[in-house]
Amino acid sequence: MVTPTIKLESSEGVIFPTEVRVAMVSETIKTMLDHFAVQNDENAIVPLHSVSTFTLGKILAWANHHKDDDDQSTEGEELKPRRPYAISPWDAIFLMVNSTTLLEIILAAKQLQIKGLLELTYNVVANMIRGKTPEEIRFIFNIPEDVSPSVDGELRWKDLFLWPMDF
Amino acid sequence: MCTLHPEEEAHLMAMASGGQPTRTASPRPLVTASIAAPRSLFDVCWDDVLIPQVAVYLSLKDLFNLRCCSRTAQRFVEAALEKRQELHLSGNNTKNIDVAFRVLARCCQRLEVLHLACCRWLTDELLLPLLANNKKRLWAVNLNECVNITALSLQPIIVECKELRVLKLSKCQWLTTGAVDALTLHQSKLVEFDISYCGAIGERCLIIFFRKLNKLTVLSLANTPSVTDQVLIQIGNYCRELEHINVIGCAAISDYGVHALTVHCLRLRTLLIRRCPRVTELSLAPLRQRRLYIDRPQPDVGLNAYNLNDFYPSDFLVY
Repeated sequence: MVTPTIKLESSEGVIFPTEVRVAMVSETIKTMLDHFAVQNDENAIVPLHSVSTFTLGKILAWANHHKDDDDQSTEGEELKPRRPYAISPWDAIFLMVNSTTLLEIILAAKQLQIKGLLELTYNVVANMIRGKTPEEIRFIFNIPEDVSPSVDGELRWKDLFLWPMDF
Repeated sequence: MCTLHPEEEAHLMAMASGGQPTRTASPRPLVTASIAAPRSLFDVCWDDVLIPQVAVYLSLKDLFNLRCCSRTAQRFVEAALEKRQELHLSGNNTKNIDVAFRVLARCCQRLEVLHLACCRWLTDELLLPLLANNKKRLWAVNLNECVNITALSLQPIIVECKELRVLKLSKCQWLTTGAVDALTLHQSKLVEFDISYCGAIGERCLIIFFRKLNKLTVLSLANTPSVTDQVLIQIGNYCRELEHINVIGCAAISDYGVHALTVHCLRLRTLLIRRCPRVTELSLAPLRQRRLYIDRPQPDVGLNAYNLNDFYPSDFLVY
């Protein structure tokens, strides 16, 4: 029996043939398939206008790697407060990307409702901030520096920005 | 603040409206305008993502470092601090901590747990604005060894924090009989209370206090000279759910008070009672039968029943 597949289309029109089981990690796609019963339609195309080709490729690579995880059975744990957990080596290497790509993955995973990937990316963002100086955070996330003493005046500047805390 | 672009919003609306989401071919041209990538961290939705999923797992130091990055970062961090529920600064006496505390006092609106023990920099001027913004939700306040605040800061805690359950005021020499009377009048839900090393409290107000505040499970009265047998008798009579009590250095108590605890506090699990010279094994022995933890070691009586030194080698020479 042929493994059922579905075609996902990125915003640039590139088609990604995908196993249905892999695509099911997305609650959005899962809901579509459950409602419209198109699993056997070989010509079905799901357009994802808000996900770029590169981002969709990354997400499908992650989903393919984690297709055997028990994410679905842990939905009840959502009521419990999440604790930071160790990131697996594969995931750490997978998300060793620049912050723009990481933020794109977050937005896409949020729209597609991929819970495991979202939790992973949230942890990665928190780790990218933890223990860093303001200059490092600014560099990592491309945050434009929109304040300077000459513009705001020395006194107001000091009040506005507590320069790095040592506590 | 939400960062969805108009095209994304339209797409989500189309998906939600239940229209046919799949088709045999895409009518869109292959060449489409590229959707603008998120330009920075703060383009991600704050309320859904950044605050509940990222900011809550960052330390205050990390948040303040992030706050220094830009004006938007400042607004973001202050929005995150507004929703913060716990503040743990105990033992933190570093440079600039008072300036940071002013920011916290201005931003935090939903604090429930406030731990400020051993903060020598803490003054009434710093603490009162924070209490004014957070008095409705606070249920745990730790001001142990805050030697530079006064009863002025304690008043809003006593009068207006109606959900208060944990109050720690160890080594607050400024705590007086009047403050304990006010606590008796305004509070009713305390389960954990610490007034160790508070020498200015009278015995009478404690007797009345424990008659009213009878839900206590954890109590520390160490080195408080006004703790007498009468106080312990009141605790035994009224605070029957007590599990842990610390009366180290309460020189005025004796076996009568401990006996009252023994008879009535059946859930007692910890009794710290060093440096109480008038308490003897006569009252502690029944407690040891219940296998609770007592920090005074049990005297070694059994092994001395037979004095081995009574035997001398010369006795065997008779034979």
